[in-house]
Amino acid sequence: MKIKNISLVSVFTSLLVLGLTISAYAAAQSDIPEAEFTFPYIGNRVVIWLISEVHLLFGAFILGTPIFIVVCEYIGMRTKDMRYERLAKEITKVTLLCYAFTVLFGGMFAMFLFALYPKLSAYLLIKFFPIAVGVYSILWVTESTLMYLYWYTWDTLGARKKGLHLAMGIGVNISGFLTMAAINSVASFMLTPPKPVEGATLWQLVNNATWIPLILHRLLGNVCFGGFIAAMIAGYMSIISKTKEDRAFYDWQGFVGTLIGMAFLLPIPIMGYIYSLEIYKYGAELGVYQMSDRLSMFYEINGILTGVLFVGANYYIWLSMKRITGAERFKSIIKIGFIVAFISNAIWVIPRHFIATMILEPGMGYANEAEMMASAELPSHLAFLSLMPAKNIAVTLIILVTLLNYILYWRALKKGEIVWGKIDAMADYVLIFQSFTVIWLMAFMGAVRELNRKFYHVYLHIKDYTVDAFSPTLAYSSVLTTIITAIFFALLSFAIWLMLHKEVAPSK
Amino acid sequence: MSDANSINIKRKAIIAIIALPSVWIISYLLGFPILFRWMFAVYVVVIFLFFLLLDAPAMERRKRGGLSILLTFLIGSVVYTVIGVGFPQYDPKIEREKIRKLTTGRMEMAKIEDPVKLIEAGKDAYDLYECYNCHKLKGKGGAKSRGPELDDIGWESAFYIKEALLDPMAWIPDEFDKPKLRDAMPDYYSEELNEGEYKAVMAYLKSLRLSADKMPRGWWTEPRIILEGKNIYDGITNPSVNCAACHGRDGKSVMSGAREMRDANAKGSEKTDVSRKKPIKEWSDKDWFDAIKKGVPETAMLGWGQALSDSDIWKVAAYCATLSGAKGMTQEKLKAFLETEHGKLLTSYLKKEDERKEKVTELEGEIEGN
Repeated sequence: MKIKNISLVSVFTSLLVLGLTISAYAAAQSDIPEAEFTFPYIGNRVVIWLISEVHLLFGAFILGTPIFIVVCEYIGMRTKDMRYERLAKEITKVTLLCYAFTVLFGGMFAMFLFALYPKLSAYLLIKFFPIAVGVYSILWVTESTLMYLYWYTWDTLGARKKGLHLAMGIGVNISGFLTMAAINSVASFMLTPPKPVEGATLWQLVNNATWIPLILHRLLGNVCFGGFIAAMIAGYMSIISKTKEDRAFYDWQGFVGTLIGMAFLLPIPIMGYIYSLEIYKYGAELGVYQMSDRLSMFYEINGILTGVLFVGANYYIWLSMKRITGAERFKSIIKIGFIVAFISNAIWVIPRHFIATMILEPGMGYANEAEMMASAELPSHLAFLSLMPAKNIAVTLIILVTLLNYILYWRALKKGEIVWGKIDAMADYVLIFQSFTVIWLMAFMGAVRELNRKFYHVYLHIKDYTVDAFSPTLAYSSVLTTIITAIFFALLSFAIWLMLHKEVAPSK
Repeated sequence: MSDANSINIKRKAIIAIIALPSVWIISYLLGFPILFRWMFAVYVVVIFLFFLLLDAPAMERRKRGGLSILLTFLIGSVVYTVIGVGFPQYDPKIEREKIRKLTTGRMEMAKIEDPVKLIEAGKDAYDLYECYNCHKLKGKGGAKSRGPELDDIGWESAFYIKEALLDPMAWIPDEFDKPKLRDAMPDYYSEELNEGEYKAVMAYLKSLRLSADKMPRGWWTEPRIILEGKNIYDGITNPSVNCAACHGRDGKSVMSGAREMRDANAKGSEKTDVSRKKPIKEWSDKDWFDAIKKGVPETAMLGWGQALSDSDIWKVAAYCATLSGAKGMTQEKLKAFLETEHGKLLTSYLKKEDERKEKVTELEGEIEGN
């Protein structure tokens, strides 16, 4: 597929969505009835859930990777190491197709939201009209235009005007960041609207209690996501590579992607903590619902998967060290680090009790409170293990183990020699598995943020009167998250194959 | 498989076989319930498998990489879905039913007149709004540090409960006056509750009392209660009840035969019943309550049960006990507390009673419109 065609699809869909939004705004001025249509078999919520999550995952990708790309291009320019240039260019190619996917799913999301939740859509449109139609559209068009210009001028500007090209890349990132900030205002408003909402200015609606924490959380998350996806692309390409040179290049790319992914993963638990703290400060009952009540077990999964990411990254370092001569001497110390990481993760996920709500409910497998406490609740002398100080120590230990392993890696590099492309073939699958974990976790925790509103579309302001106004079980959410991840993966794999398979063709 | 690898695997297996029961026994001895012990056992198995992977021989490059990629997806999908399905679940029907009542069925509460049914409906509303997430009641629900336990809330005045519900920031008990907890109690119930729910919740909360013979939990040392008791004792709250007239403002009796309240060791008159002969420090909660409610036979101490509510009697008792320090709180401690910032807030809070009542009435007006 030619990139020109992709650009046309993106522009056309963007215009269509913009037109639809303006028409919807006009319609919203009159009293809109609640939708009577229910999507067959899966229901309205699942449709919105699926489309919005896939849209968000692509959104995260196209916002995260340009940061990664520009940094790589800059390093390439400074060091004259052409691998950075190639890496930046290849990722950009995939990103361009992902722009089109983002627009397509964004358009679908808007259309389905208007059709299935007209009252809510009308309410949000009226409240945020200047943001949704003005700011967001201008930023989106600016970002897309700059991105396509960035791509088309890559070769024509050449090495002589690299600075101008980089400036264009920075422009893509700035407009991307502002686009995300603009749309985050609506998402955060739905959870933490200003008090009172009536009479609040547009700025008060935008700058609500969790707007900034959400922006920061997503910004870090997106770059981390971009890094892991770049590593996944490296894993894919390494598997299908035919030459030693290509294999060496993708081995190197996998390492760089993972390094960036991990660098931005480290502060995410702290950022998540700050975000949750803001939610708690806004409404303690929201924090309790999240951490101690119906969403508490979702956080167990979050802890386990974050642990998997850290252990996975350290395992990747282990495999990477195998291709450095003389690095065997660090084996024992890294193994001790793994044990520390596993024990820390076990402490991280210890809950106060193994029931999914604050108090026992029928159908949870216990006849009464005493029975539940005997088998599923920490006794009071061990309760400290379920509290934040214990969790903080555990997270800090995992982070320290990871940092230590990277330090050992650099020390091994100083004395030994690295042979790119000679990494254990298992590393390619580790990279793919790591990105699978990141995508699954991101889709899953995104749902948690939405479910936190309980039976409100806009917390304490617009009640959700539909049949879906409840928190689905962990099992249900996990299955749905797996489906979302599969859809995203399938499309992303298609994009990678379509845009990059010629890069490793034997004839090249 | 090489001999070295085989030995390595066997060595790890032996370590795992030793570690598994050791972890189980140690966690049992430490007091971890069975589900936690299972969790640790799973971790041991995962660590064992992971260490096998660490020392596994390098993987060969496959010709059909696509299948391996697909297998990687499948492993991830299955493992994460199984974890999600395997963790504790809840029945969504319960929350759905709650939400149905909150969004459509709650008007039914407004029609209830029968007091017993009203209390039951109040319990329903309490559960619907998930008050148990922060407040412990009958040993169930929220952590103690998050919000006050409500087992004895029924002893509080109706006004106090209304205020705590509708305007929670008006007064925050000392132990909850911390940055993280100060505004933890939602302040939107005047907007969220309808009249029926409000009436029912009030009836339910007023019904919560642990025992008629015991001082409500925490009241012996609670400055707010003690100061309210002092106002009754001094005849400020109700001019027809003035304990100070006989027992003196500072507990030094001013009437012949009146009990000296300042000395915890002083015994009462020999003529009185057995319990009155005991020094104050040995009085049970019931002794205090009966002395005020029923009076002391064959002495000038009358029973004040007609003039004071049971709740007020406990408050007077709490204040009287500070005069001798019989229950832990002394006048000195109280004075020192009132000098603190929180103490000054309490004094100002109590002084603004009229203003507070006005605000609660206004908030109740909002409920009528819901």
